[in-house]
Amino acid sequence: MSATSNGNMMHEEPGTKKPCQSCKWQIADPTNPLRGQCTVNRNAMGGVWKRWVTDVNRMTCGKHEVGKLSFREHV
Amino acid sequence: MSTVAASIKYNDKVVDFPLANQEENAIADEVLHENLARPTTERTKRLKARCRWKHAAAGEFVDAEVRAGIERMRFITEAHKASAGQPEVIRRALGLANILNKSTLVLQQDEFIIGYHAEDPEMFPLYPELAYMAVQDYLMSDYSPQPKEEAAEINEYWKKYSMQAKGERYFTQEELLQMYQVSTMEAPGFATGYNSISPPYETVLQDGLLKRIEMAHEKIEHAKREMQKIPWDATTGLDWIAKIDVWKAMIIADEAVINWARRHARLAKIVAENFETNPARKEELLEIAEISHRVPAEPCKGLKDAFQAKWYTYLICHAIDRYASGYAQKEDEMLEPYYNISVKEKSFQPMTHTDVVEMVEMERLKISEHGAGKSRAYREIFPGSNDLFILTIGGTKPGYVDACSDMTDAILEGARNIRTTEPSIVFRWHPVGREKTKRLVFECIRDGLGYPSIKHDVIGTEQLKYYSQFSKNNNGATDDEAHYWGLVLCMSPGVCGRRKTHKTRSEGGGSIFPAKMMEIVLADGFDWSYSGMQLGPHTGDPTTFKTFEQLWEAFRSQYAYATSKVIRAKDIMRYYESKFLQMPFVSSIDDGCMELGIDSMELSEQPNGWHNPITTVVAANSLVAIKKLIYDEKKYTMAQLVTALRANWHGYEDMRQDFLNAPKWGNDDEYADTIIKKFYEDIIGGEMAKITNYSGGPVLPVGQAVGLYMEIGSRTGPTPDGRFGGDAGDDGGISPYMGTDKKGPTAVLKSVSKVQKNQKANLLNQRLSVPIMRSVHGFTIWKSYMDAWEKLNIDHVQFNCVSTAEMKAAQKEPEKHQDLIVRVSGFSARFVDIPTYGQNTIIARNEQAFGADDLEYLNTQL
Repeated sequence: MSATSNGNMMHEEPGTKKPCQSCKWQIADPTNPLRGQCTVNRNAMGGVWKRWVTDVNRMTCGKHEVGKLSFREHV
Repeated sequence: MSTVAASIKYNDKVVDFPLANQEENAIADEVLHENLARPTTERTKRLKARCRWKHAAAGEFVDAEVRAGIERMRFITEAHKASAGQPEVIRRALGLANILNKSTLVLQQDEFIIGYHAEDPEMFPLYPELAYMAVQDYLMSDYSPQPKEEAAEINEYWKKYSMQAKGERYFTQEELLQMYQVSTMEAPGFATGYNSISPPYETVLQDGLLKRIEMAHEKIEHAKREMQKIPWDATTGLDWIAKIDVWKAMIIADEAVINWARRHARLAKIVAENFETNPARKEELLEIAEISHRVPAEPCKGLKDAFQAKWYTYLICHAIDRYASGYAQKEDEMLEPYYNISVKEKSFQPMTHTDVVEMVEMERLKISEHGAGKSRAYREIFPGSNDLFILTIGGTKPGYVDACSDMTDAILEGARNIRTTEPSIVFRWHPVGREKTKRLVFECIRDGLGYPSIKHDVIGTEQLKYYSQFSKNNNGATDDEAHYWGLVLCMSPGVCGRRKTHKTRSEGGGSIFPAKMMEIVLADGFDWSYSGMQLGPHTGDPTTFKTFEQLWEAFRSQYAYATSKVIRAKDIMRYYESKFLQMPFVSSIDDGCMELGIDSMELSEQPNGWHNPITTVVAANSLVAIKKLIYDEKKYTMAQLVTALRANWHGYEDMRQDFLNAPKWGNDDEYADTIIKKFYEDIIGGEMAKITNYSGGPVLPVGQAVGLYMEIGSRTGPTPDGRFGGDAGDDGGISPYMGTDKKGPTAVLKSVSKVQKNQKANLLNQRLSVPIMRSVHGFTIWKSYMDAWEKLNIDHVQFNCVSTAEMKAAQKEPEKHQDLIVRVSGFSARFVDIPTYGQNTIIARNEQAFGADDLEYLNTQL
C-alpha cells in the first residue's frame, strides 16, 4: 500500500510541489522526524488507519491538502 | 436529574439503589464530575486554577504555550566540552553540577514545595546526549527550544556522542527500520530517550546527602589504603581505580545538589525579605528557605522536610540528570515516620491531618505542572496526561501485616479532593488491609478518577522473591525487602527503599505488539498495510498451512523474533549507559552502589525483567476465530480470509460478522478461553521466559497498554477477530476487547483467572456502572467484587466509573468539562484532552452493571 503506480495513491515524486510534509493529513513519524505517517484513511468510528511515509519531502498523493491536523482528529 | 440504578430481585428481596448522597439527585449525569472537585484549601484551589498542565495528545501539546527550554542542553554541552579527557563518570557528574550551578531557579506564588526542572514553568528540558532524533523532532515542531540555531548546533554536537549513535551500531539498517516505526515492537531507548527509575529516596530522607558524601570520602580513603599495601597486587589493586572515580563522581554530584537546594533557600529568603508584602507568606517563605537549606543536605526532621527532599530528589532523578518517566515510590510507608513526628507527636513541623492533605494536593499539583521532554512516540501514547506518574500505597509489611496508615489515607483524601490526572496511584490489595482505607480507595474510583488501580499484594511480593534468585551478586531482595515494593510504571513491581531499586529502563517496559504480528503472520512476515516492508521473518504462506498448529508456530516465530530484538536493544543500551551515561547522584543514594563503588547503571542486584506484550487479545481472539471457522468448522478457507482482510472486509460483511461473532475473550467461554490461556502461557510468557537479560534473569510479560492500544491499532491492518484496519487494539494486557465482554463482570473475572502461569502482571480494565457505584450499596458491591478478584488470584484491575452521558456532553462542550477524568489504560487522563477517537474507544467499553447472578457469585451481602 505504499508506493504504487496509481497517482492518487501515495507514491514517490521527486520535486513534487505537494509533498506529504505540507499535507494536513501527514503527521510526524513517532521516532524519526524525517519520516512521517499518513492519516487520511478514516474508519466509521473515527479511527485512523495510518500509512508510513518513508520520505515526507518526496512522497505525495491525490488527497494532498495543505494544513495541519488538529489533535482532536487523531487517535 | 441523576440516573438511579434499576431495582433488582436478589436473595428473595427487592434491592433498591438510592444514591448514597441524596443531594446528587439534583445533579444531572452530564455534569457530575464538575461538582466533585473540592480542593482542601483556598491555596490549593488557586494553585489548581493556575496549573500549567503539559498534557499531550497525538504527539502535540494541548496548551500552545508549552515548549522546550534550552538551559539544560546548553549547560550539559558546555560541561561535556570542558571535561574532555576526564573519566566518563566524572564527566557525567560535572555535567549535572554545571546544570545545577547555572540553571535559572523558579519560585512561584502560593507554592510550598518548591523547585522546577527548567527555566520557566511553561518549559521542560531536552536530552541531546540520548537521542538526537528526538531533539530533532522538537526542533521541527512548534515547541522548539530558543534560540533554535543554538539548539540545532548543540544537537549536531551530540550526534556522535549520543546513546543513539552508540546503540545503532549493533543493528542492521533493516532492523532499525523495523524497530523505529513502532508497529510490531517499541523503538529502542537509544532512539527515544525514554526511561524509568525508582529512586532510592529513603537514603536521602534518612541520611541526608552530607552523610552520603562522608561515606564516599571514607570509601576513597579506604581504597587508597588498599592500593598502598605492600606488596602490590594488580589483580585486585587495579579494581580500585574505577571505584575511586565512581565515589569521586558521587561527591561532585551530591555537593552540586546541596548547592542547588541552598540556592533555592537563598532565593526564598531574598524574596521574603525584599519583595513579599503579605506577612503570612513572608513567614512561609522564610520557613521554605530554612527547609531548603536543611534538606536534602541533612536528614529530614519532619513531614515538610520529607516532601521537599523527595521533590528535589525526584527532579534530579527524573528530569535534570536524565529524563525518566514515572513517580515510583512507596509513598505512604516512606512518609509515615514523618507524619507521625509532625501530626501525632507534633515534635517537629507540627501540623494537622488536614494540613497533610493540603501538602498531598500541593505535591499532586507539582506533578501536574511537571513536563517531560519525551519523544513524539511517547507524547502520542499517553494522551490527555503529562506523562506516566504512578505512586504506590497500601499492601503489607513483613509477615503480611497491614501497611496502611493515616498517611495512606491522607494521600487518598488529597487525590479525591483535588482531582488531578496525575500522579496516578496504585493500591496494593490484601485481605488484612483496613476497611477505612479501602473505603477511601473506593471513593476515588467511584468519583471517576480511574485510580487507584489495584495490584494483588501477595502476587507482587512473591514475584520479587522469585526474581531475587537471579541476582548476579546473590544479593536480591530478602523476604522482608520483598514486601516493600511499588510499581515502576503502570504494572511491574520493583523494590523500593535504600538499595536494589530499578535504576534504568533496560529492564522493564519494552513493548511488543501481538496484534500487528498476527497481521504479518498472515502475510509471511510482510507488512502490507502500514510500512510496505518485511517486518519479521518469513514464516510461510498462510494459505498453505494445513493445520492450526502451523499457524500457531508461525506466530511463535514472529513473536520470538520481535521480543528478542527488543530485549537485545535494551541490553545494548544498558551496556553503554554503564560506560557513558552514568548516574553518579543516583549511585550516591543507593546503598549497594555506595558500598561496592559501582555505578547504578552497571550494578544489578535485583532483576526486574518485565516487558510488555500488548494488543495480545486482538491476536488471541483472531486465533480463536481462525481455529473455529477455518480449521474446526471449515466454513472458510485461509485463502478466503486473506483475501477478505486485504479488502479490509469490504464486500465480505457476512464473513466479517462470522469472525466478529466467534467466541471472544472475557465471557467465561470454554472454547475461547482454552485457546487464549494456552496462547498467554505457551507463547506470550513461554517465549519471553527463554530470554536472559542484562541482570541474568528471565523476561516475563507485563501487559500495560497505555495509549499504545490506539496507536498500534492505527498501524495495524484488519484482523481475523472481525476488526477493521486501523481500529484500536484491546486496551489492556488481559482486558477483553471493547464491547465484546457481554456476560457481565464476573464472567470477565472468571476468564482472566484462567491464566495463571508465568504471567501475573497483566492490566485488566473494567468500566463500572456509575449509578450502582454511587448508590448506598456501592461500596459493599465493589468490596465483594474485590474480595472475589483477590481470591481468584488475579494480579491487577483498574476501573472507569464515568457515564456515557457525561463523556458525550464533554465531547460537545469540552470547555465545560475540565474536571472530567477517565482511565485510559494504566494512566488517567483529562477526557477533553484526548482525541475524539480515543474518547470513543472509552465510551465503547461495556459498562458493567451487577445482576443478581453476579452478586450471588460474589457472595455480596446486601
